[in-house]
Amino acid sequence: MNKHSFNAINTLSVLDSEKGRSLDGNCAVYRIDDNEAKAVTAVFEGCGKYSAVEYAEFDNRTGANIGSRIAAAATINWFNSDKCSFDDNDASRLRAAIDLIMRKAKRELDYEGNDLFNKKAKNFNTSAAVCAVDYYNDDSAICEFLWAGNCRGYVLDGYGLCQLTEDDVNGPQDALANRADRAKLVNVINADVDYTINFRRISITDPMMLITATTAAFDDFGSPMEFEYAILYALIKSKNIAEWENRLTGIIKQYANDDFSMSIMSVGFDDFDQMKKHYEPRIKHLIEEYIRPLNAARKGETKINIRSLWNRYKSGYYR
Amino acid sequence: MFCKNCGHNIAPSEQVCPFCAEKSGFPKGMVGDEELLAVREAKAIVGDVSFGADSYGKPAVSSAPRKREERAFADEQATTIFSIDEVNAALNTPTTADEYDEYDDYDDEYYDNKKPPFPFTNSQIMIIGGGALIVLVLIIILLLSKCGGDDTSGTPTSKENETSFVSSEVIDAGSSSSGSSTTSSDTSSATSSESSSNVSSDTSSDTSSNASSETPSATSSDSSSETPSETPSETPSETPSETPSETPSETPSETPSENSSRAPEDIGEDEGRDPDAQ
Repeated sequence: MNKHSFNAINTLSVLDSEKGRSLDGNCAVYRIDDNEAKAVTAVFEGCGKYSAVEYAEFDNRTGANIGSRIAAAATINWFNSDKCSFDDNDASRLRAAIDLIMRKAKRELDYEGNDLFNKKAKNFNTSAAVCAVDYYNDDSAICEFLWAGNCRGYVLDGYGLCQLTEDDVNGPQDALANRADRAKLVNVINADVDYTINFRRISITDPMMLITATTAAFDDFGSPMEFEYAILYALIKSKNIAEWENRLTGIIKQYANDDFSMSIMSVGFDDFDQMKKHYEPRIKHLIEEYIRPLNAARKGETKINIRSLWNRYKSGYYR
Repeated sequence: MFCKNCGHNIAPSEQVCPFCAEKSGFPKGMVGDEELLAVREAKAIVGDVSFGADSYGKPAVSSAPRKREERAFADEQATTIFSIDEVNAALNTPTTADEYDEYDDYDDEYYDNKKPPFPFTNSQIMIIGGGALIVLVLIIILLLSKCGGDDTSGTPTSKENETSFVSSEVIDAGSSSSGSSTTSSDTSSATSSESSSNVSSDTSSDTSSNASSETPSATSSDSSSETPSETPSETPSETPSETPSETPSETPSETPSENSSRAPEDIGEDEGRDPDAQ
């Protein structure tokens, strides 16, 4: 059995459809602490019916833009100020950090007495997925996902892609069905009503990727199997990390109907070549068990349908 | 962290890799040496975004967040569930770089993923249905005309001769404006034969127009939109050549194109994200 070292983040990639475009409704942040013992990546996506409302008070930025930036800045503050302690109160502390800046932004608004106030008051709605890693120990790392809304956190290990977050929707957790049915969101970060920051913490003892992504990054693929395939396909085909990032960004851009943000951290690998070798058995399995049958089904060459493949795949996807 | 160029393990603070002398490619501001773009924008929105000990911890709304229950696979079980040693032992892992080439075969399949899952597209179903309908109408008309011919003529005369004869007679009658000298049987046979010829000509024109406009165009559009993307010509460095040219909207059942329906919603009443938001 190989001994894996977890005393460092191996890779940290931020994929963004429109890097530097400041009026986007989504964004990503990342940070490695000064002691190089903790790291965080997070993605945010402004959302909601009024997300396109522009605010003159904020240089005509949209509600989506404002909400995502506030949540992003608060997350970095939360991490920088040692409020990320990998305990059960992390979520409440993150929420308090976000609320603090949300409250400040609300004070800037001057809609008292205006009918529009009630409409706009329900603003700055934002989905978020945060991934923090404590890699202080050599033998293992602790990973914590915090989220609200339908941004997602995944791990991708030798067993395949696994969605660790649960979409805050009013339906069952089914990544394939939710794509088609567009289940309604029931919990997002916002400035006005109660919301929840969910969290889930895992112990990592094997090499894996830790992924956070906004909806556009994963939802426009035909199925979760193909999202995993895109990540591994780009990895296997690339000579180095920069090429992997560019290739994967290009693939997602072709599929995504919207701007997206995505971050990938990896831990437990010796080098990039070993990382690729680590995933070779998985991509072979993925191709033979899912991608080939999926393509055959779409060509009408077999009676297997995507739902039956998904039913098989999701036993590993929801672990 | 691994240098994004050469893959060597270097310190996160290294901007230039000491091994390959190229830029390490690490995200800007990762180690706090530079302010992140999103944080800068937040400051532009609300000013100072830092918080002191006094203000920190006061939620904007009253109720406390609910802790989501942790699931069993974390911690203790994570070790066994996430272990891949068994998988590695069971599968042969290729060791040479040449074996990566085998994944080239999967390019086409990857791009095929956006094909519709059903054997026929909507346009193909419409064409087949339309063709069947036309054939049915033709059969009915032929039967009707057959019955009509038996009823009206009563003699086994050639229909072509009868049609040409009556047609010329009708033309003559119309050109001379001298009223009708044809018998009722002639008129009826003329009507039936004309309607028959009309229908047959209409039908043939419909068929030809269908064949010329619908079927080939569907085929050509399919081939023009799908074939190139299925067999992308990969350039050495460019990502777009790797990526399919099809848009997700080509598989409506698989990849709904409405941003609003995919998007998050306001709590309680909102229907979806406004696409203009992005």
